[in-house]
Amino acid sequence: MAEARFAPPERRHAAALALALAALVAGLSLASPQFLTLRNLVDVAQGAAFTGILAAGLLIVLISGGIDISFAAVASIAQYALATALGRIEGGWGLAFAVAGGVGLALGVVNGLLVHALAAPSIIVTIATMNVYYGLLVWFSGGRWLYDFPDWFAAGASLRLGAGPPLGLQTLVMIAAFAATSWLLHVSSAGRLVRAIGGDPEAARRLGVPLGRLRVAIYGYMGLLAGLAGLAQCQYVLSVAPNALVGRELDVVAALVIGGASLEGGVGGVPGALLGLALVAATGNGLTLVGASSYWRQVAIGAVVLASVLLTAVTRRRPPGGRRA
Amino acid sequence: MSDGLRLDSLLLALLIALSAGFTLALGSDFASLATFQSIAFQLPELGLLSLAMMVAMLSGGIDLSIVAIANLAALAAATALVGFGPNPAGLWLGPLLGLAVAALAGAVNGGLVAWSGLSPILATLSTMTLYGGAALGLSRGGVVAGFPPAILWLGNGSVAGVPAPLVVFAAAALAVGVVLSATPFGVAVRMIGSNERAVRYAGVDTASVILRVYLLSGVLAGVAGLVMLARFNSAKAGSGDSYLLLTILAAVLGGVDPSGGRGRTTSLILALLVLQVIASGFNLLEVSAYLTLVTWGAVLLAVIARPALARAFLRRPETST
Amino acid sequence: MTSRTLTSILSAAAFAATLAGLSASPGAAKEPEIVAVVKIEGIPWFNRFAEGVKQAGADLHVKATQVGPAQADPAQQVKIIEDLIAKGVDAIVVVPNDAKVLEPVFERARAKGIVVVTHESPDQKGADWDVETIDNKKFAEEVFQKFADLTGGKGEFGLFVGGLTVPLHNYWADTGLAYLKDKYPDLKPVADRLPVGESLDDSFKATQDLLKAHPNLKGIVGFGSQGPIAAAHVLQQQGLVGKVAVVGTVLPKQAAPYLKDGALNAGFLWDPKDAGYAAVAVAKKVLDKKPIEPGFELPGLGKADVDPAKRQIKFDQIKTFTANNAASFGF
Repeated sequence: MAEARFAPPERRHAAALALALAALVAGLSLASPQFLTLRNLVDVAQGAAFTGILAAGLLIVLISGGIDISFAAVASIAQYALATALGRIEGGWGLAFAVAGGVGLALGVVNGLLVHALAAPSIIVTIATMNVYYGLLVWFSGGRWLYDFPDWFAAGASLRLGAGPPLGLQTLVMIAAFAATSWLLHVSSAGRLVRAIGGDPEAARRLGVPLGRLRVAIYGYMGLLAGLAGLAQCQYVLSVAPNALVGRELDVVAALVIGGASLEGGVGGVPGALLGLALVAATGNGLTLVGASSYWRQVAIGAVVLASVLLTAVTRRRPPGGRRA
Repeated sequence: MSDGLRLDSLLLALLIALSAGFTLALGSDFASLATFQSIAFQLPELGLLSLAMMVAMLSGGIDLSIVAIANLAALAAATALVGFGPNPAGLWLGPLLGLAVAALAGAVNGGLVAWSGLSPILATLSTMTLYGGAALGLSRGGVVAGFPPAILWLGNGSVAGVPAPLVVFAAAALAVGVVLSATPFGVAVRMIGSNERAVRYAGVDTASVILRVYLLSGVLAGVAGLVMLARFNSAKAGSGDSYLLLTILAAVLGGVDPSGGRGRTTSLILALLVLQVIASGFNLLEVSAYLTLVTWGAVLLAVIARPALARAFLRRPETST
Repeated sequence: MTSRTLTSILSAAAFAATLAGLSASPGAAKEPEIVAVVKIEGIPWFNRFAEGVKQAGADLHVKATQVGPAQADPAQQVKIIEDLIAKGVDAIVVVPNDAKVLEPVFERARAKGIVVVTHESPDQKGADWDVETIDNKKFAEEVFQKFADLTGGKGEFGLFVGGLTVPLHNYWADTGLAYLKDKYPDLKPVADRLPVGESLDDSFKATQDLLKAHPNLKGIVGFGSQGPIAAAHVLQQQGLVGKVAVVGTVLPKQAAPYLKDGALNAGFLWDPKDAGYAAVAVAKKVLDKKPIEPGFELPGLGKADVDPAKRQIKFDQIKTFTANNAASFGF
């Protein structure tokens, strides 16, 4: 299993993607002097944090050979619970993180239990739970928006490193999430088990990997991060709308698959995920900065994404006709 | 009884139970010719798109660009129809142009998946953005409308009481069913879905099969686009965007295996009917559309829980029927 | 085989139920049924609209209810209307996601004798009447006039819409830009309108990016419920309140703190409750075969401006939200 940590295809993929990103950054900084400024990069990180936190969780799910479609619904429920709790209970950040993370974790565990107990593909299970979670949220909440938050929550939290602009709560949570995922994947023994069930679940089971507990842990971790992403997003915009997040699932999947993760499981890593995320975020930001036509914006994003992934595909030289990534 | 047939009888039982329940609750508001017609008008667009999704999923892939292709094809056809004005040649050339655009878009998807080594989700995610963006950019977000009555008939007319779009859908479903179950291509698609490497070693040109899979998926999406154009009397970027995840929901409820190989057209149609009857029944009962989502999710869970429940309650799996 | 047995039992039950249902014919004359079909269910704007629908139902003795899809997709609205045609309701009140898409289904509804009234859809074809609670041209000009006053009629600004395919937002944008070109040619948009106005996140990013790319930005005009709120929030964070002007469409309750702070200069909209009430009231008038006479009045809405040729009924109820009144609207 040791070779899985630095599997050559992943490193080659990351290197090719880094090349694509470098080209994009070079082009954008020529086109717009504001692009490559510290202030802008901090803003871009802040704006990409919601997707990033979710990507840190989904990465592990993908490597384990599964997928989760319900995380945006989970994040919506977690932030709705959070905003409701903040209006009723006194308590600082500890309470906020506990409520959002706890609700997310619980819903994630439900996903994990269902995936395991039903022995069904995770895409089916989580499409079903997405509909159930989201439908119940809007039905029970009546679709009300919440925008009354205590002052300390509205003020947020930030960390200033040196003379640069401060890093906001969202960026800090994202960094923590990726650090945790990195540790899980590359340091802890859990990472090897996750890769093992992603590569070949049947073989892993015969080798004595506790599939059930591992799946509950994986989807629970995804749920926990979805809850925290909900918290970060709600602190960012200081409002909770039950329908604001659902529909953004594909953004997260896109960042990860661009970053080299495969829906077939077994492959993917944090460096690739970060690069994929950065590529998508930089493209969106750069297009606004250079004042690109908004009518052609989507085409430009599609073209950048396609060009980058083609570049990485060429470097990998897969046999033709492959349905596997 | 095979697994597929067992799923069919389950879905059929569900359908009957739902219809009975809604009839009890709504009386003649539900159990009427008008309701059946309403369902028959609503089913085809989502049905055609779900067929497109099913074909890709059978090969072990996925096609996220189908709604974007449908809109792009509809816009191309609409522009041609408006351009030809009263000239009757437009009646043929407009839809043909739409289908050609859809076929081209599908072929690009197929080429990317077959030869570049991109995974289907990545290839079609990129082209979804590209095609959707092209539709938006070319139309500048506007509506293209004003077609001859013959086109509107395709979406809103009836043949002996049967809605015209349903006829289109039935023909497409029949054709897809035959192609998938009775041609070497269909067999190859399923085999690629189950085990691609083995198929390649067996000497099948998998790249060409995959190209044709996405071509077919694109053309079906194009037909869906034309039906939408006719039903809505207009074409516009972004119409029917909410159908994408629904097609996957319908496909998996209809027993299509997301990792490829298994799936039948009849089950898919039954699954579509189940979803539609729930939606229509709830509409008539004035139940929140969000509870429709909840019920869809619950039904999907219940259907996939069936084998697990059977294992839990029976000593050994059913062997015969 | 268990499932086959189940199937046959259920078929028998369904058959019996169908017979029971068919024989249970509707009783004596009941209140007419008017159903409002909104763009999307479960958002505050249309929850407020539903209050008006309900109120009109109670006042006018009709069974008035509201439904809507879970996604703001015109295709989903068509499906709902098809079901309502099958049910045979007496009238539908529709807030279209797309006017064109609904034309054929409206025609089918009217062929079955169902009265069709639309809202937020001037020039709608296929409907009996369209009811507007504002004059859209006047609305756009008022928003841009206020913006010109705030900026001194000179400089560069950003423009947000809810989406490039949202007809009303783009109509306001087109009308407003034409108005500026005519009256304030030195007040110019820096780029294409950005389709971010319904998402707080996207409007945030767009505001930050515009401020960076155009340090001299004089202001932002936002259509869509979230654009102006997000822009005001960014101004607060960056200490630019008072230096950059923000106007646009907002929900008053959500906008109140930003208006108080001065980060948001003015908000414009109408009250969806008025609109829901007016649309149902018009549907009832048509059902009763009462004439829609010019200048008829509805409680709380004032006199109607009736255009029989365009089948349009207009009330003049533009609401302007300021720091002083925003909290008093109840939505």
